[in-house]
Amino acid sequence: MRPVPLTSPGGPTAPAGRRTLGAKVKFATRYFLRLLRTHPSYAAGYVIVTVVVLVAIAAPVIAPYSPITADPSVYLQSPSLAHPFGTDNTGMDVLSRVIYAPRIDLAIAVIGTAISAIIGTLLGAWVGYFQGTPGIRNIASGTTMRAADVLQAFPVFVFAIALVAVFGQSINSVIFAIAFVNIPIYLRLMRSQVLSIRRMRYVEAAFVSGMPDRFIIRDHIVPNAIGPVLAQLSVNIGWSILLTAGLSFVGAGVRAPTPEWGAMIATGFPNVMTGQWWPSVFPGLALAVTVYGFALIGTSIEFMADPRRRRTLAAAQVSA
Amino acid sequence: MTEAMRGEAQSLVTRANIRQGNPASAGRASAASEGPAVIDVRDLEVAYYVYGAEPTRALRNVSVRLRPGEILGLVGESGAGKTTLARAIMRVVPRPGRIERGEIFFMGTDLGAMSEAELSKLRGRDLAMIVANPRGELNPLLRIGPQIATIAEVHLGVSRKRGLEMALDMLRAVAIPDPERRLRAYPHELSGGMAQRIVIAMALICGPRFVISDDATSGLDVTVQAQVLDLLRKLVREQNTSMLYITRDIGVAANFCDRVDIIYKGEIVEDAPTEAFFSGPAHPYSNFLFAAFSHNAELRRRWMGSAPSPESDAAEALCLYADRCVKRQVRCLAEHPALRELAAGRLARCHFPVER
Repeated sequence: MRPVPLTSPGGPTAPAGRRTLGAKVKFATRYFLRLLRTHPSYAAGYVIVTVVVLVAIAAPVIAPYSPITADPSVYLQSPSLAHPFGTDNTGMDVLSRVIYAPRIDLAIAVIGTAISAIIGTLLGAWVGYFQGTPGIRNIASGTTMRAADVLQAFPVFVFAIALVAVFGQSINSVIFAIAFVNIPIYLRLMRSQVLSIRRMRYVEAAFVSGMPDRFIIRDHIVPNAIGPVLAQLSVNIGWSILLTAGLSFVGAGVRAPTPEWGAMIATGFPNVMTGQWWPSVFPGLALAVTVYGFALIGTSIEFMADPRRRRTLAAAQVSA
Repeated sequence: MTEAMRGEAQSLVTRANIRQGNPASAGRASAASEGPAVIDVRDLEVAYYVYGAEPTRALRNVSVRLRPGEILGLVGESGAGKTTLARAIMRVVPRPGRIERGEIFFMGTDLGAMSEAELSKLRGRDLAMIVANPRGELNPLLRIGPQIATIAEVHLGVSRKRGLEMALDMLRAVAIPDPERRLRAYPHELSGGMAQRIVIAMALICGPRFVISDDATSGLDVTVQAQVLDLLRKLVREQNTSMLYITRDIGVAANFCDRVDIIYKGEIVEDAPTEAFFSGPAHPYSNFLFAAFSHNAELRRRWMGSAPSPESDAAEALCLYADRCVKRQVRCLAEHPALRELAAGRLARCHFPVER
């Protein structure tokens, strides 16, 4: 590691004077590139996720075959030029299905995570801020936490299966299940952050200068507590992809003809025993790499959300 | 009071004045003009309830009055109850503390009878507080400008744009170099002295009637401290704000304040105009504080009493300073002294006040 000077003259700290939007964008871009250069693993994360997203969008163009058309005459063929990832036991092209799958997996994971993050974060900020203050709000926040305890007492996977079973097997049910099982995670994460942040002197100072609670939560609590949540977000999208795939694998998620990594692994699984590994391994690899990519992005977001760590980046640049 | 003592006291005042580069004490009497009290604390008692022990009484029967434009110095050692008094006035006594008794009037209205909502309208607008370690008072993720501006926005109902203009004016008023740029700085980019000025700007942006400075300059080195104090006094005089200046530095109090209150174990033990106080403190504890700041070893020896004994709260019947007092007599252990008037405007809580 390079020696880091204490001051950072000329580094990407805020330049003097009001900046135009163009200058801001340029500054942010330069800064972002610098982050990727100093942390190659973050760059790998962004590359992975970008590729997955682009592939999902451009699936109809890149995929050599239809993902849901079975051709029984070519079932279980090993990887070849015609079928680079081989074909599965119904004769569907594995490559095309792997390419189409993120459309389903990503959509479910992103929407589910977003819903749970928004609800969980707001609830967590509220619960953490009012916990221990006298009155009805303390009782309400206690009740919320006990409800979260009950939800988290169930194993996530079993709970998700139960939810899908209750609401019927559809993509919406899977999204709902993912959102529901993740809310307590964000709730807890945010609450624990808020409990320490609200003891900070600047929160007390804001209170003593007559700031209403909603201002304190908006200006001081949420921005200071949100860092780990943002980092969690990306990691959680990865988990949610896993959960979606897991649900489909056991048959509680997306149904068979729809291209989805988990369902594909499940379909191909019996053939692995007899040596035809490709219908399961390729979707499995795609799944693993995608989840890893989201985890890396999560780490980089955590880095960027913290101005003090951002500063070390500026310093490293100067010494470079 | 001995000749040596008087000389020492005088030189302390002079030294402080020289340090501040400000010999003016003539303006003080007129600045603290007569009028209704801005803050009137009456018989305030605060106790901390610690589980499994007797409640600790942090403030006993404290009465403090501040007239418009007056700067009152509150001097005492650690644990005397200075900060508790400040927080009680803001009505933010930290748990497990409780206001047991007494009233706090602000411009004639009882703060104790106000709802939390009414109080938060007063806090930051009419009642402001400046504390030590200013960097902790600033949200590390927000730029300085918006942090200052929000206070004006909330209390004065101004727009963000106007709020930022006011913040810029305040940064100029607290003599921050390159204020336009500092408005966009993050707290970690500021030096300690600058952060202190920012916190002062935040406290004064709404033109409060009353400011508490709780040991605000103690974390700064002496030259910066002098600058900040000068600035604080200038701003307070301009806005005709009353100020409770809490400090452990009796030298600063000598130069900065119109009146001085000495607090010991939660009791006001002496209350006197600065000039009178520094030409001859009446309470033995005040003399001890004095001697502690003195370079005169003989003086220090004379007033240095025995080490404090563990606090015995039950001992209501004796003078709280009796265990340390060098002038202790039998009566001090038998009877709790009242705060009584020695001369016009001079009060001391002692059976045997030091003669001048």
